[in-house]
Amino acid sequence: MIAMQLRAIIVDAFREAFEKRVFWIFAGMTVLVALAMASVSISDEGVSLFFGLAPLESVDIAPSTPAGRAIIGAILTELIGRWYIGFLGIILSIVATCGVIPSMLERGAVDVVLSKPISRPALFLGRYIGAMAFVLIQATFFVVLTFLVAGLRWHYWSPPYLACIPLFVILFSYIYAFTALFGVITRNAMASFLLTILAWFCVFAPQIAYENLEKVESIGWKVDQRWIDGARLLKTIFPNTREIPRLAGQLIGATVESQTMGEPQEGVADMVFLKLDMQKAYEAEARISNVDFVTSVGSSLLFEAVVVMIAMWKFSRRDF
Amino acid sequence: MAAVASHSDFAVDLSDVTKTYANGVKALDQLSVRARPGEIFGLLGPNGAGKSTLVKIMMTVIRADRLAGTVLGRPIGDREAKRRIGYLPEAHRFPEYLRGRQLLDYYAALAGVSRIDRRRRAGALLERVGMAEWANTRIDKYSKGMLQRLGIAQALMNDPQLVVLDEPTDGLDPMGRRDVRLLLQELREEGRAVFINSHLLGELELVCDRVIIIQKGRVVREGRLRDMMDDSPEYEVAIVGDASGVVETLGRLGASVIGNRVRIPTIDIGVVNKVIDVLRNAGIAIESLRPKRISLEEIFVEATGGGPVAPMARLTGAGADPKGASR
Repeated sequence: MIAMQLRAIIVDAFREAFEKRVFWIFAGMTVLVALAMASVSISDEGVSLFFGLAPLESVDIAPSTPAGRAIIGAILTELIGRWYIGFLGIILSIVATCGVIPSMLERGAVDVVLSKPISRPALFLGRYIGAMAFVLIQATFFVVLTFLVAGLRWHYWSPPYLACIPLFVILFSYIYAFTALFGVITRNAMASFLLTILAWFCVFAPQIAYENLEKVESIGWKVDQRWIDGARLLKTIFPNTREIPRLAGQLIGATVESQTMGEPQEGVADMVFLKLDMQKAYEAEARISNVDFVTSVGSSLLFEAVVVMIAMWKFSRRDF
Repeated sequence: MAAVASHSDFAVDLSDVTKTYANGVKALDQLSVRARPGEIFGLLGPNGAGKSTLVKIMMTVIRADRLAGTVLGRPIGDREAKRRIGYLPEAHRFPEYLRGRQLLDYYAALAGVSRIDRRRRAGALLERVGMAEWANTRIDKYSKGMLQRLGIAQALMNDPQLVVLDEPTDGLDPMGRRDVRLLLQELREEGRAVFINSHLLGELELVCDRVIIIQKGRVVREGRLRDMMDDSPEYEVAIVGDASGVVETLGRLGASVIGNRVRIPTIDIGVVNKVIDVLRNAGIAIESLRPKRISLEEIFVEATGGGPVAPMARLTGAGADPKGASR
């Protein structure tokens, strides 16, 4: 019976999410991004914009060369890794799903579902999984479409790129745990969305702080070790939201190939103006960028599980 | 319908139900309630009396601080019992993106009804509540009365042995109310227990077998409705003329004059005849004489001590609606 009930809850969460305009906004944006990418042709013969109407003779990106592949990889890393996975896609997905839990808890709605022979944790998890499955579809649509465009129009076939789909869902799940918790507490979609953004900032800040403190120290500046240790501790406890986009970048292939080109990685270029010991800065960046997937994702999922358990406990104990 | 697998003869058999909200409002205070299979049970009380709290406790929406007893022979919250309970909450809010048939299917799936049964019952119930032609319309297009009909169908999708309805005729037109009454009577004839919470005393009077009146979380009156209504039988005489001159004489016989009516609170026919003699001797014409049963409203007012001022006073009193108090 539980399988039938869970299926019903998940399907309902899907229906609700599909009802929201933001799903169609997201789908429209995905198509626009794919069209924009498709309008750029990159081949060994040259690069052109607007479906061949504007050839760029001064630009030479040959997909068959390591340098050309590295540039394309860097573009995709920026577009998919940093912007889609790291920011915009997550925001849109939270907007689309922030109402999934609160809508179930609305007065008059919650009474009916709680009267059914299903446990509260199962109800909660059903909605949570439903939101996750919905985002999986969104991510698959975006990543597969851009993967095909990159392959067909830029001659850049990189199957590991498809791993961005689960990576996106994993990162979303870190953040959505907060949305679910705040949804149970406030029973309001807008409030849970805003509080989620605040929580995201709170887990993001120690990561940025730690990375920059490490870099600053590596180039010889004096930093109180307690600050670095504190930031590292918070970074370790909180979900590592910065590392998923980095992992995505590595999978896309940009990191390795940009090293081939000898160019500085993300963040390091910003420090060039300091004219300090760049070698140490590279080493610090490499140390920070050296993501251990199991540790990073494992500790983040552990934190997510704790937040979800708190939300579930709150939901199970609460009077409505 | 299968027989109630129960350790108790009652569909609802609860005692010592106590609930105090976080803000200190005591909604229920050692309340006891019993409803039998095959009867329609009315739950009455002024605003803030604790009616909704009791229903929500039965439906596990709210947890009691303390209670003993069973629903359908099992402890409250037992999943097997919940499978056999249908519930329509007051001011329900259904997902607006669903269509009528989808909504029935969704809630029945949550109730553990198989796909085949869901399909079969949805069609039959939509027909039964007069919503068949709206089955595939999104419910955000429904009127309040249509939503109420769909809500009742929803409560019956799992073929329940106990049907709990909170204000079931809310939003319905007179025809809809009559349909609901007939439906409730059918449910009773099928051997189901029907538990109704409503403010519409006239509606309840027409269908209920038993009622319980609660106030400030305690039972103030309960029993068979017919017994209650026959409990204080009286005669009422409609008169034409001024009876002010015989008020004192009538008072000595226990009768009272209210406008152009004389109330005789007894079934002693000798006393009734004496009252008639007094009236006729005073030259007052008698238009009609009839035995008068006490109405549910009068029972309610008497039980809750509600005069013309008291109901408003209650709105601001300790028994005020505790909605939100749980948060």
